Amino acid sequence: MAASVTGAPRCLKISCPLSLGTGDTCLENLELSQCTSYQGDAAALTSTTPEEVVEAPDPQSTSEPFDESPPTGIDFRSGQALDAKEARSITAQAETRLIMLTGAQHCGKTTLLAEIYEAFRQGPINEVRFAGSKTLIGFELRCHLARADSGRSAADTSRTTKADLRTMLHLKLRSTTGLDSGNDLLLYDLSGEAFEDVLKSAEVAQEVHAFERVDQLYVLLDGTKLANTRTRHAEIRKAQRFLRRLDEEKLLTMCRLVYLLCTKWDVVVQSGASDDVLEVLHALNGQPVAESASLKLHTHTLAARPSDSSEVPRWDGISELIQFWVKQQNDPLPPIRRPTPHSTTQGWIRFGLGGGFE
Amino acid sequence: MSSNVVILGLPGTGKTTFVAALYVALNHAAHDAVFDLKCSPSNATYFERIAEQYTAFKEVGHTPTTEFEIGTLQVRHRSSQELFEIHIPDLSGEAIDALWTARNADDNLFQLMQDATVGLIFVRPDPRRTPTIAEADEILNALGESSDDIGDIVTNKDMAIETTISEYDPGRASDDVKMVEIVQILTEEANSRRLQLFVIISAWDLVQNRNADVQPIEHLRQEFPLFCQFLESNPELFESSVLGLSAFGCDPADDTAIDTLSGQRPEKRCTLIMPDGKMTHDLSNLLALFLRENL
Repeated sequence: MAASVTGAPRCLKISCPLSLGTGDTCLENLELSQCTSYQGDAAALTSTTPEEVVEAPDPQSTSEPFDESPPTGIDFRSGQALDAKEARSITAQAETRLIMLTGAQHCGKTTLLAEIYEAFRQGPINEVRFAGSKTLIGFELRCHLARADSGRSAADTSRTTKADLRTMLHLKLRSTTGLDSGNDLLLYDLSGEAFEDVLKSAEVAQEVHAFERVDQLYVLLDGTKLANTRTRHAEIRKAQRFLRRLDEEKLLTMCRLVYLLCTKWDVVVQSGASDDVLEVLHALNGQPVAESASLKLHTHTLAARPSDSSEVPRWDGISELIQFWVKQQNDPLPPIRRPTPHSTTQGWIRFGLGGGFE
Repeated sequence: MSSNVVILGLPGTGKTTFVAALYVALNHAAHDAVFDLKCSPSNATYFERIAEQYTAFKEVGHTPTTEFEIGTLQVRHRSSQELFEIHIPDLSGEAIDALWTARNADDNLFQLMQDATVGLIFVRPDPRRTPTIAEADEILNALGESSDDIGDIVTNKDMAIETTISEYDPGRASDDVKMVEIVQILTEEANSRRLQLFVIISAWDLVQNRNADVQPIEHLRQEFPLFCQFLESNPELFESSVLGLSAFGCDPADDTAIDTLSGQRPEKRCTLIMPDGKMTHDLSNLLALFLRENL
């Protein structure tokens, strides 16, 4: 039997936490010894170092042969979303702002991130250019289920779970005027499960260290729920309880801005409830984040990926958000004014600009 | 004076054809050429092989992944008689694609990126795209096809339909995204040197056949929007220019066009569209761009 040298463990699945060393189980929640996606014998990988010699598979075997050659050359960063440790490589190099998106499950956090990336793949957004990203694979993975390559016939987005340690996507933006030096953003996708846990437990809230570093916090409100009078207030109150928890735990020390973002605005418009929802959002605008907090709430509406039949255009509301992220670099204290009164025809486009998008 | 060039591009973007055309242009420099070859390379086996294929109108061979060719050309600036040494590597497109897919570079490529002062970045005129399901629906509707169960739409060459749900495969990412990452990695490894990048859109004759007035930068902006934004947003990291190049001179499968071209001198076959939009048949003009500070 011939012998070969094993390399570092590699998984056939690109985002496998085992392969990345960020978890004890694989994508299917299997332990290494049970996972069949590793290249080579899993048992051997658990017991050998990269330099150890293991027996090669039986040459008579009918199974697909794995590449037995040792990996050579230099490995680069994975291109995937970053965990806290990896994010330091970004923050150490450039002034970086941490922007957190959170909200209940299925409110559209990951879809928003995916569609921001898809929008830049079409060209600059309202005088803001894409200037780079260390997490292109992370963005690509989040877009995959909405692409034809996925083989699906309807767009979807993979869900972020609280087990995901790679929660941050990096995006460098630059104004087309070239007057800024570039804006390095870390976009933190806090899972719906983690959001719920924070509601339930102060201890859990304290464990999310990122809260203390957040510059801008965006709590997403599911437009589907806001459109329905039976679920509207529960959705808003959940967001308020979440913010109160962070305020009580004194976790928003670095935060300069808090937004309530109404997602799936196309659903709201289609339901005929847009005026009612705007009124509710309008009332929240300028309110304190929590009873004793000095931070004020702002509101905005978004339709990141509206349905084909919707009258609301794709990426509605995203360009204002992006412009704001870039402008803020030169404008550390956002001006706060009352929102522009909305008209019945264009109100859903204009509403929400009052919080600093102007 | 020497210049370290790294040639990067995905498979099939015309890197080897370019090296062949450049060698022919320098070796048989016309009287009005900007540069010529001062002397034959000490080891000319590789250059002679690809030059022979090029002059015979054969498709210049694909560089195998395992093969690594680096040639050194001693060139002379005709008007000043200044001499330059240019190290030109020919790497396989697969090795460059692996920067994105395998997140790995072999030692040779890594060293080249670290030493590079000039990057020649080759892209094809009709890149691979990754349309969203909605965009694919639109394309299929325009073609009168059913939009159910779309598996794969490849817009550069052909269209295939698969019906299986696929996991993400980085190898199938768009050329646009891959090129951003490849140049990001190049700049990260360049040890903080400000690079000169020349983005070369190959098979430019195909683009001109469709639109004679379009400029290379406009075409890049349209076909590689993310890459173009990236290039335009990082002047601290590199200086970039966009060129169009028809190195072979025509479609290699077009016998009539080859018959027409065969009456010309081989060094006049190629067409280069310079960043300022001017057209030249002297490929050594490209060298003048990246050696200009030393002239």
